[in-house]
Amino acid sequence: MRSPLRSSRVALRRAGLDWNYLLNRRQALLLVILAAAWKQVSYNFLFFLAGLQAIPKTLVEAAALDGAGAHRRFWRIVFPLLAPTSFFLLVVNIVYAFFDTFGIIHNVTQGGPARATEILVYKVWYDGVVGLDLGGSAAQSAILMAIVIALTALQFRYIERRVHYA
Amino acid sequence: MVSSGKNAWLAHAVLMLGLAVVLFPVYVAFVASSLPLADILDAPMTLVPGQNPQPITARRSLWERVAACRFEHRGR
Repeated sequence: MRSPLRSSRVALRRAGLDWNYLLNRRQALLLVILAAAWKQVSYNFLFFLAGLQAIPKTLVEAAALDGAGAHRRFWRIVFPLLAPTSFFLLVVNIVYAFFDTFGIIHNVTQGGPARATEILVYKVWYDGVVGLDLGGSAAQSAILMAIVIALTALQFRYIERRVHYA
Repeated sequence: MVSSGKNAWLAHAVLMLGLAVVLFPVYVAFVASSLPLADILDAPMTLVPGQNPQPITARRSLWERVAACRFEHRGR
């Protein structure tokens, strides 16, 4: 396996793990997930930082004066006030996972090994552009849209109910 | 008041660790851009940038290489 990722393979081999994402389905999926998550870290960080900075310091200080410990201050004040930010990021990250991970999969595994990393967007593209099954591709893209709309609607229905906007 | 000495150190350590995790792959890409292909594919890839920044296509600036890549790769 000649690839720049061979370094990590050698390092993991020395640690006693047979790392080969071109043959092992679970490792391939794990690698794609790690790469996709890594890519989103900075985006989420930025929004959480903005959310944290938007929390009035006076609230936290008042709670501290009332004798609330660090844990209590976090769960009772900071966490609820971050809920709108967290909810926004939840929705955006799920949409990202369904659609924008295409580039990572296409570059790293091309949907392989044995279709282990072939998520629906990748299959839509593969069946349509490579397999030239345009009808099937279009149908699957409509199904993908329905899934994402349903998931987003469910989140707004059941999770947003517990989010309070200040 | 809210964050005191020891906690602040811990928080900074966690932030620094996160920064390292985020920046490491970017650094590897930077180092790889300065190495010849054989060195990039070498099993433990070196993490030291190459001595000569552009050994692959001799005597070309980085910007010329970026511009050239766009067209050379079309031909594949």
